[in-house]
Amino acid sequence: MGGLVHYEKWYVSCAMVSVMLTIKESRVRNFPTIVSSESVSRMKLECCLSISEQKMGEAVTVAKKENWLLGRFAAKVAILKTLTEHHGINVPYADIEIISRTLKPPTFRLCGDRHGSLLEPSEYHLSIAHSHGVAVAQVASQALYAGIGVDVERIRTFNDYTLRNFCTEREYAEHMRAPIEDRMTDTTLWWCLKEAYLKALGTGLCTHPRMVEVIKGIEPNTVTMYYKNDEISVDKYWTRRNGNYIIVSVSV
Amino acid sequence: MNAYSEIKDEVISLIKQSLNLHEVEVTEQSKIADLSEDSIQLFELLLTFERTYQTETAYEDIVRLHTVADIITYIERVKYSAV
Repeated sequence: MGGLVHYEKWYVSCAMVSVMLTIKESRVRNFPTIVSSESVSRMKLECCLSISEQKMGEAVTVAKKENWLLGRFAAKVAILKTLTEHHGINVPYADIEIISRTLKPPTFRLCGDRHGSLLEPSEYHLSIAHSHGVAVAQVASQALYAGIGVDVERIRTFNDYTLRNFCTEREYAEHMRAPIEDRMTDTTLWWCLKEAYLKALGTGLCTHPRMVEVIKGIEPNTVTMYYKNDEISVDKYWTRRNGNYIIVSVSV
Repeated sequence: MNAYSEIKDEVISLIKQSLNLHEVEVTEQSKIADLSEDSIQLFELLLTFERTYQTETAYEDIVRLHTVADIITYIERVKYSAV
């Protein structure tokens, strides 16, 4: 299997992105869960937190609280989908506790003795990302995938110093050749792919993003990816442009 | 003012400037990952430290630091290790 990957890019307005839409799609394919601050504006996300998470939340700054809550809620929705689809069970969101780990992918546990044997969290990968009011999360079985990674970024212009640091020479050259109207989207997509792939590897940004290279393919909406100069194969590769955001999911 | 205090003021100032956190309190206990809006901002912050302290810091070291205090201690160590 080569490094050529195909991806779909379609446009969804932010107002249409909702938890219910994502749950419906996941019954057909394993899409990540996407949550925006607009889609959950009427919910009190704090009610979805476990007791430990509520205490943890007290230490999060006010400026970051929204993204922190969105990320946790997206993860809980993704985990609950797995519980209902794979195990036929339903638990309150507050009984799903997301555990952040330093320099490691997050994980989760089910609180309360009555849930203890329902599933083994260590058998699942969990990946979470958030950016400016949009959060993404995905759960996947470790029996099927070696790793998963998601990323969401608001489409933006990168300053030249940042570009030269996260792009390889080939990527930077391609960026300079690209039409100006495509550059913001392209470079944001490259960042998302790099980070999602590094998360799937389990290292995240501890590995320098320049170790991953993304080169546009000849066919539309295709890229070839390299890791430390070796062509890499990703099992699944999914992107979505959601208004001003790019969302990527990679599984290996 | 001792070296740690000098670097502390400098690091906190760099963080506030890089992440546009002029209205937010940044302390030594603040977690770096929590201060940034997203991963691109975090990466740009790490580049700021690399650029400010140039050959004295390495991305692979800085990226593993957890809190502002960790960064201050690290920069103090690499900045003054030759002295």
